[in-house]
Order: sequence, then structure tokens, then C-alpha cells
Amino acid sequence: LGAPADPDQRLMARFQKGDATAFEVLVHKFQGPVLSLVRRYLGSRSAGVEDVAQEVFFRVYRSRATYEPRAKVGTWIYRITVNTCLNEIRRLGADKNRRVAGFSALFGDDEAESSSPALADASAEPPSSRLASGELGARVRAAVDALPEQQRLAVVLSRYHALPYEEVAAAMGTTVPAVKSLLTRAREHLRRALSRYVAAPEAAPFPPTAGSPDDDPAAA
Amino acid sequence: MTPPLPDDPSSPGGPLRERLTAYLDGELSPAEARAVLAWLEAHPQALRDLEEHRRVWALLSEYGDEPVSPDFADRVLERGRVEAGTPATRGARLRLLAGGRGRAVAAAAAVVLVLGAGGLAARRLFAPGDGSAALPTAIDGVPSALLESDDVARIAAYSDDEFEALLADDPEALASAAKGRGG
Repeated sequence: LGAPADPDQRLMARFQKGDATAFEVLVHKFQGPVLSLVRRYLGSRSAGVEDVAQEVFFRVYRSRATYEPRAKVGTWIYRITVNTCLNEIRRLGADKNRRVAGFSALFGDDEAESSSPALADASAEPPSSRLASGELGARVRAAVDALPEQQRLAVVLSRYHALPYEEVAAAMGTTVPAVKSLLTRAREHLRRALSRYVAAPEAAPFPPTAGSPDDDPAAA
Repeated sequence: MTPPLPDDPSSPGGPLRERLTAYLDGELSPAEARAVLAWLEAHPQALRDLEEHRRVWALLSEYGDEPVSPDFADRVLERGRVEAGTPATRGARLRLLAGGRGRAVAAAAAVVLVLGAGGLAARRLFAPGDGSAALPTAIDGVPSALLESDDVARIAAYSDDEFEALLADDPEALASAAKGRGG
């Protein structure tokens, strides 16, 4: 068998043979994606994003012998990242009540109580055109952060890491139909939380022209 | 007549929604995508809903990422070297021990190294004549002459320039910075 065609797999092969430089290249290449995944998956749950990401690379280092070239290196590293984050969530004792409350406040759907005062308050929020960019970013972040854990992970891998369903499933250790279901529910939740910021503008009334009040849709 | 979706002609529930999600995510085959498009033509409300989903998905880009710390990879690699027992530079070890937690922790790390050097000196003093006592891992590769000349109180009182010079393992810059401070 020749060397793998995939450059990442070639790197892994060198790394498995003890080439420390190959590991350095892998760290440099995947540090951004790993940090990004940890940050968005853990959300506000952990302040130790870099510590968790470091732990991911140590696990990569220690478990290099378990890598099999059938898998994409990126997917394998994402899988390790997901497992490391799950450990972190467990370690933090995932405050389920707090998360469900937050979820309820944002979505008020069938996975939580629907009569949420916070949701009612949100109805008074301004549309995106009246929000500062940072403010809008914070609301989007809060909406993603409030998704149930598995849905959030599916969204992060699909939306922010542009992984196809098959790779999302591999990284999450689940099936493609399960990913499809998670993303469908997540999209619905996000739509409820954020639709006010993307609602198509109402048909702007044309300025009434002199002598033609019928042109004003409001008068119709 | 409403064009049916493949193998799911009438379901208003999950499978249809999931197929629309897959359509938005570009996960359908061309034939499946054409069927969905044809179905949407006959369902304008579903088309509007789908467009809202698409805009919400696009809005998620507002949740931006943060830049990677410039020394993140260095810290990972240094810790990896420590785990592997490979010598690293003193400055790198200080950076590693300090992590991203700032100067106070780095000073504490320096304390660890200095105490380690003390331990090393003691071992040298009491070790058998062949000097075969294993070096403490934490000070592998550390230029002990420089370490032994430092003291913890001085490190804690370093100016920023001195501290940077210490992290850079640059005795000349350290001396120069000390002069600049009048030390």
C-alpha cells in the first residue's frame, strides 16, 4: 500500500511513526477548529476553553495509535473534541435546571414550558436593523447556547464547521437520520428565537402620489 | 395537483420537515432536490417558512469566533514535550507552566523551577559520586547557573521588560532590562 492521498492522513501516518514535527503541524492546523468547537459547544458553561482544547490535543497525542486511516483525521479529532467536551460538561455537573429554564425562556416550546415571561418580553425586542452588531451577535449566541446539548452540537458542527451530515454523525457518534432530526428541531428552535431579527420587511408602502390615495396599501 | 415528495407524499410532520432541512443543507440528491422544489411551488407558505429558516441560518454568522491565542500551539506542544520527557527550553517551560494565566502564575512557575533547582543542587550534593540521580522532569534542560542566580523575590519584582526577557530565556536582555530599571 502506498502513502495515503489525503495530506492529513499522511501527517497522521508520520505522527504514528513518532515524527514529532507531524504532530506540531496537526496542532497548528487544527487548533482553530478545535478551539472554535469547544467554545461554541461549551458555550457559557465553561471559562476554561483553552484548557479543554489543550486536553483535546493531549488525547490526540496519547491515542494516536488508535487512529485508523479509514477515518478523516479532522473527523477523528472532532470526535475526540466532542468526548472531551462531554467530560467537561459532566465535570461541571451540567446545571440541567438552569439550561432548561434558559431554553424555556427562549423558545417556550414542547421541550419546555411555553408560557415564558422572558419570551413575552422578547416580543418587544427590536428587529435586527435596530440592533448594534455586537448586540445581535450576543442574541444569536444566546439562542445557540440555549439549544439542548445534542442539537447545539449538531448545529455547531454543521453550521460553523461546514461538516456534511455523515461527518457530523461520525463526530457525534450517532447516525445520519439522528443528525437530520436534531438539525430539524434545532432549526425550528432557532427560528422561534431569532425570526424577529430576520423577518422579511413588510411591503414598504409606496409614498402616496398626489391625487392617488388608492396607491397607499394602508388605505386598502 | 401538488407534486408529492419522494416516498413521503402526504406527511405534514417530521419526515417532510427533515427532508426540507436536508434540502436547505444541500444534503439531497439532485432528483430529491428537484422534487422538493416542485412541491414547494405548490406550497407557498412552506416556501416562505423555508426562506425564513434560511435567513435564520445565515444569521448565525453573527455568532463570531474568537482569534486563537498566539501562544496556544506553543503551550500545547511544550506540554506534549513534557509528557514525552523531551527537553525544552527554560523559557518555554515557564510559558507552559504559566499557561495563559498571566504573570502571577508565571512567577509561581519560576518559584517551582527555583525550588526544583534547589532540589537538584541537594541531589548533586548527596548523590553518589557518579552523579546519576535522575533530574527532576520540571527542570530538564534548564540552564541551572542562571536559575541558581535568581531568587523568587527578584522575579516577583521584575519589570515587564525583565519578565519578558526571562520568558525569552535571554540573560543579556534581562541584564539590560534590569539596568533600565536601575536594578
